[in-house]
Amino acid sequence: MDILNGLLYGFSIATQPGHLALVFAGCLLGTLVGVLPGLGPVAAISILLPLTFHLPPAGAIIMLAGIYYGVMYGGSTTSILVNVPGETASVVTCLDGYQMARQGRAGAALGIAAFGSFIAGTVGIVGLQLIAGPLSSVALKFGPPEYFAIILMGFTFVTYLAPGSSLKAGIMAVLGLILSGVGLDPITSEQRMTFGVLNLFEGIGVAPLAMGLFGVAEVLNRLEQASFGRVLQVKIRSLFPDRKDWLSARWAILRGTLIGFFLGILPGGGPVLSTFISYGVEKRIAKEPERFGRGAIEGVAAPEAANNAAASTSFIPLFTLGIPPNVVLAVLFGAFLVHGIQPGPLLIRDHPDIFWGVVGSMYIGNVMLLVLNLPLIPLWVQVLRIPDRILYPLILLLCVVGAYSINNSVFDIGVMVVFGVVGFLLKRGSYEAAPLILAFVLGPMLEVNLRRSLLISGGDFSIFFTRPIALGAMIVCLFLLALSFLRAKKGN
Amino acid sequence: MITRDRISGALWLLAAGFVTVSGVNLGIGAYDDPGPGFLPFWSGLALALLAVVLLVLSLWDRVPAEERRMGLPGRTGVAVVAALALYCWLLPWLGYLIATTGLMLVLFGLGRMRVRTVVLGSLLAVFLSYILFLHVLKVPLPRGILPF
Repeated sequence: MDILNGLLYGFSIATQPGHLALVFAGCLLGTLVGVLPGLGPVAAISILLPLTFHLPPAGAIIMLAGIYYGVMYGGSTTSILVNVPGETASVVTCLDGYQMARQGRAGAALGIAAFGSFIAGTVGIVGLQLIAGPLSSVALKFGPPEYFAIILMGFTFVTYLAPGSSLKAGIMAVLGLILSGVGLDPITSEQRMTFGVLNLFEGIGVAPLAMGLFGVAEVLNRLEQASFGRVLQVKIRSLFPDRKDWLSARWAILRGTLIGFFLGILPGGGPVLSTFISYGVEKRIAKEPERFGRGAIEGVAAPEAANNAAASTSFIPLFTLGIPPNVVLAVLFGAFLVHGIQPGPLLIRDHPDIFWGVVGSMYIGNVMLLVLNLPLIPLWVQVLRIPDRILYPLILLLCVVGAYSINNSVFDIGVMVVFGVVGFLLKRGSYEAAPLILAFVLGPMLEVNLRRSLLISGGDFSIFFTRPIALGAMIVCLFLLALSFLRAKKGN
Repeated sequence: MITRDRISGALWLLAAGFVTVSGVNLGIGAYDDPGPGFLPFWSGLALALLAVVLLVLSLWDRVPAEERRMGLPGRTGVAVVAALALYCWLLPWLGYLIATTGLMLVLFGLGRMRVRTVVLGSLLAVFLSYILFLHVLKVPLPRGILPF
């Protein structure tokens, strides 16, 4: 199927009334979660995953994708009006967005964030549809050594790029790998670390694990903190940036889009990293860098464009290689598996309804977000005023019923609670849970491809250094490890 | 002073020991035919190595120990975890409606709201979730002692 026919097919799927409703629901729920401080896209997708269990796979993925880019849109509202990021990819938006709001320019900040997100998101989707097909064809030629090396490169990137200590990120990645080994051996079907518990024979479920680490842990963490910032009492005059704003922001949007586009594809990169880099670039090339942090519109436009472009292009490695490049996509990868679909090079051929349906729904979702979100900003401001004491019990209720509904098992609720406590303690110990979940999801793939590679080569590890793609990935791994070491040495 | 890095480093070392021994017991196999214990064994060793590095670095850490103590959940956090654990235990016996109402009463109650708000909020949340999951999403929620 060529791109044009594929796109038409995608629109025919995405515009079915049921799917339109799911795109709308996904965007709305995503924006809601993005608006609420503390809960990011990982928690949102984990918590809301059970709602999609009874949907057909295409509808489920369309809705979950909608939640993802909905969160990216919604996060900016809280950053601009409360000076508290709705999610990590909106941290940078606080710097200038809140200052603009304090200067009475909240409307322009919210407007440029929304339009910038729309433009960048659309460019990202165009990239997704253009690159995915050819990359899938290349990926079909990959063997176990290539897959092992690329997954290992993903691990290294995530460890290197994780905020805070690379050492702790490495510990988290290894822990995720170990947890992924619980259950039956993927080749011999022998029990591993199950302690004879029947529920562990199929391994630890990705949904209860993610719900615990990101949902329950976040609630427990917030319970220990004082209430977040107050919503600014600002009058939003116009959400349409004026001519001067557009002139100031247009190149920032373009640069943010390009940075987000490429970093979205990079393993471990994704929306968060792209916002920091695009902000840094804008500040560096600005004629008056001292304006940044005091309400520069470029400081809002560039990171918001970057995170939306990255959110769209981060689907490329998942759809073509079957390798999620960041933690959000790792949870989405889990959602694919729950629905019995294996993302990878054969996805476009075997499940064109899912691939093109998601692409079509992304275009529609982007328009929906732009049309719906700007008029709904007063509603989101009211949502921000919901007290934590009402919000958190409801989140926990959703987690509990959601975890139960995966396998109709109380055991899964227990797993979620245990990992909720673990996630809380990890956070207190400055450990990031993202490398853990990514390694957990990719662990079985890594193991199977490692063992198959060694079987093929007769135990010779040079197989990872004699094939061009595997060699390239291994060189990147070694380079990043050396950089981590140098960074740690410099830090000391 | 025991800092959080030293505590976590020691815990990781213990976990690494367990995983490595599990790997050996499962059978590491050979390089040309890796067994089920291959990955647990090597990842256990990797965890041990990283834990040792963390422990060693924490000994040289110049950050004041007071700032680096392990943070445990406060009273509210402990109450929430206890309520969730109790809920897991009681859910199969009491059923969704009774157990979840109890859980929500505790969770809303911890927010120090008026009794009427707590009761009404809990009943409403349970009722709506019951309708959503049982009737809309067709999840067979446990009945327990109730006939529905």
